[in-house]
Amino acid sequence: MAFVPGDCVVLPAPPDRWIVHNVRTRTAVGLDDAALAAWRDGATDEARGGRVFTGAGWFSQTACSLHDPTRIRRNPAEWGEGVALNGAALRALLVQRHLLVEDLAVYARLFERPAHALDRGRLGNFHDQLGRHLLLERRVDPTAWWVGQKFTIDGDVRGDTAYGTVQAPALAAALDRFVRPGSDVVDVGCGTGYYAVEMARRGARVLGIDPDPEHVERARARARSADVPKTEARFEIMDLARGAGFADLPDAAFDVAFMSDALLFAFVPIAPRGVRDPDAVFAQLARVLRPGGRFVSVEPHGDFYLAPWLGEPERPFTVLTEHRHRRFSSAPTLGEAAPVAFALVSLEELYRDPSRSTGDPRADAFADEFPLWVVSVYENRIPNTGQAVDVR
Amino acid sequence: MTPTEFLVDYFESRGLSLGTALEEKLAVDYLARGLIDSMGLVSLIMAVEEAFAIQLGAEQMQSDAFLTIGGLAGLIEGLRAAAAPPGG
Repeated sequence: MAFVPGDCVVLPAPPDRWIVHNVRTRTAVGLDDAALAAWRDGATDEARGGRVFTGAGWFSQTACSLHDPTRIRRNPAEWGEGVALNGAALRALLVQRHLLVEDLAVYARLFERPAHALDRGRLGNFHDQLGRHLLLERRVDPTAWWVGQKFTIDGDVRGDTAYGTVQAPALAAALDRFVRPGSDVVDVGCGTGYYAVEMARRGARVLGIDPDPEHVERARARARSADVPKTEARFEIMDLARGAGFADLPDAAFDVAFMSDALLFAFVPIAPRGVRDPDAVFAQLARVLRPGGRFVSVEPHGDFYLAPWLGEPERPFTVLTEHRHRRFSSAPTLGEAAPVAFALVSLEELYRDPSRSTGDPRADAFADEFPLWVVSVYENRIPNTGQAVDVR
Repeated sequence: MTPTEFLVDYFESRGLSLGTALEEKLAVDYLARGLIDSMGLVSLIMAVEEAFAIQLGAEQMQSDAFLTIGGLAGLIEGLRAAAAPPGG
């Protein structure tokens, strides 16, 4: 006995096809009228079936300017010939794609965190699936891929993604507010050093720390080519995974701790070198910041993982189930990003700078309607004791 | 070098202990035991593909056999047999 899980939606694919899409597993197939009817009934009748187009589902995230979590090809002309299936074969394929469910317990387990990259029983969230795809299909380092979404090979912000149209202009303005000439800044998870160098250009003394030696080398090269003196922008390899990498940093040494899209990696368990214990990181930030120092955090807003591609360019409002699910969330919730060792000073949701465009109307319209990132600024209110603070 | 020998050597030459008896080594679930991480897995896959001139695809990676050294050796043997010229 198989049944249709409640997470499925059916979309028309004119003139005579249908897309059946599970919005939680992000799996989809194209069906003709007969196959759609058989699917709806759980594909229980051995004699009934129809034509199935597996080409309607694909791994779309790696081909878009805005990461498309739906994984649907909307145009049936791109689906290929499809196969005629009925009975057990149809049921097996639909179960394999999570469009029919035979065992609800097995289905529920799909949304737990995978234990490792080959954990078949658990899909995890958006990032888990993306990381697994990049590792096993594309054979690339997910962290490197992510950096490539944000920066060009020369280390500049890409103009054709939301990083260029939303995040970069807002961050440039935010840095003007929070970084003063002579400020001591630590850029935690500095990556290839773009924002660290931007802060040094504003007169700050910046220490960029990142666990990836290649990133640190690129950051140093960036500072050299920007003519930023070594004393103004230094870069060190430090492991952020459990906060241990901070141990060498002195107490109460910084006015500003800056973290951009780095905490995100706490939610990417199969990405190598990710942040694995955000609380330990927060505790260390409280220790290294001066009393009254600011922690400036830039992380994806939960709305980042809506599904604009289900809607029309001017009405990109279809909402997937995942984005606000506490356990399943793809991005840090505000609560998780707001450590109690700090007091929230300001919170800004980022929308598109109207003067910039990715060249993709759908992505632009989406970034006009939903905040993709949130900049939160916290003040360190913990009197400095020279000890790491338990933030729980 | 057989696939089993290659895999055992791959882990042991990296200082990763698989146990003493061969039977024990073949049964090790190397990911669950944390012997290698996700990038280590990719390195292993690429090393196997190069050493045996095969392609490990989704069908193999979705198999439970992939998770143990003995099972993975069996999958490699299967792919080599399939790639061998007829009668060869």
